[in-house]
Amino acid sequence: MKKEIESELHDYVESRYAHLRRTAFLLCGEWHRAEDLVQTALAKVVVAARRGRVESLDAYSRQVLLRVYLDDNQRGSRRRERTWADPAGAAEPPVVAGDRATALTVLAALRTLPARQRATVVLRYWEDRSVEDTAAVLGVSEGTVKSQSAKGLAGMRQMLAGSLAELMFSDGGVV
Amino acid sequence: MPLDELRTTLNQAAELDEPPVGGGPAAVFARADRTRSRQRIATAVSGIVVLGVVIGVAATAVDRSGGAPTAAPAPVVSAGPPSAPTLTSAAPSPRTRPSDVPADAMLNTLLRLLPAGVTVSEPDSQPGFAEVILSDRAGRGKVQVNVQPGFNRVIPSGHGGDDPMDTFTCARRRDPAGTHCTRSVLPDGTIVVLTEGPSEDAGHDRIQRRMADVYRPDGVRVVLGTWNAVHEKTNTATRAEPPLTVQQLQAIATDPTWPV
Repeated sequence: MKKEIESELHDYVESRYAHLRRTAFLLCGEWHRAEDLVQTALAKVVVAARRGRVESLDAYSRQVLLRVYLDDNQRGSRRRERTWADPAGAAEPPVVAGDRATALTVLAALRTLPARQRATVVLRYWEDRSVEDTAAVLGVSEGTVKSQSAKGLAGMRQMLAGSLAELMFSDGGVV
Repeated sequence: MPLDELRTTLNQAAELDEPPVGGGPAAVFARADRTRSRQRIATAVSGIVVLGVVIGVAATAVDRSGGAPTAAPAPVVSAGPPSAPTLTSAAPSPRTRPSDVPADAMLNTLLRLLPAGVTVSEPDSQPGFAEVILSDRAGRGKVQVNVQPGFNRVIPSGHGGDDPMDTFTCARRRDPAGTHCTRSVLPDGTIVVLTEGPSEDAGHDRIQRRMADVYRPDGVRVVLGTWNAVHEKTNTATRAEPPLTVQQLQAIATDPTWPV
């Protein structure tokens, strides 16, 4: 039984590590910190799973990762803010052509959002989670998820207005 | 932006300059093992505290009921569960393999190498780590050491350009802003990096940290740190400066008797 759990855990970590690290990267914007966040979160998951306290590894991992990110962000926000562009300074994302430039620009815009809005946007629009799932992972109401999504996307749209106007203001509308 | 385009763009962003996974999954299990080890120590310490309280209450009850005078209960460890090791997070080398250096040997060596004239309390250790609280007239402060044998065989971090040996070059270290760093190489080839500045863990200015980060020619890394606080992750300074100077840290960290 113990061997089965260990085997399942190893398979899970091996297979989901990269994906969770990408989620963490979108959340924090730094690969080094993303690596740390995902290792911290998965270590907690492993400890809990070995005690038989985890029903769904995937759901629990996502929940722990978000919690670790939000806690870490709250604890060290003052120090880390120095490593990121100041929201005011980031108001002019690079205007360059190509997919890479677009990705960089969206990433820069994402970083300007407050932590919870960023988490909501990442869960809803990258992880493709429903409002209900997102609310459960973040431990907030569905109404809060909807308002955070709207504010987050509006914030991104505002940030990107100068460089990606053709994307952000197409008829499809993000909000 | 239509939602599909937003998703596509986020996908591209999520893979932007993505470093290889490397030893990440292995590091997860190493961390989990360390967490479990700390939890066991915390449980043991809690048990001792509870036992001490029970003995103390029982002794008091016997005393009040007219029984023979009883000796005061043995001093009880008054600290809460041991805090998480902080030195590996303070220095950018989180992907070292778990240390096999026995906890007892770590603590005994640290106690032996500390300068005379200080009072030691709240000793704690686990494989590769040891920490104590030092007290003198200036107040209380924490000292923690981490020994990493085989640092020369460290698992690659997987970050582009993020060499584990960067920690031994002041310009490449990721110390908190305001940290003063000096590097020297001893005649036997040992690299010594000494730092002094705000504590990374606290994220506040009040907690100061001094560190000696030593890399020996045999591939062993010794990281010794001291804080002007008992719990460096809070902003409560318990003295004006950390209890040991960087010179004292260097002398202890470069001692050849650290167990490996």
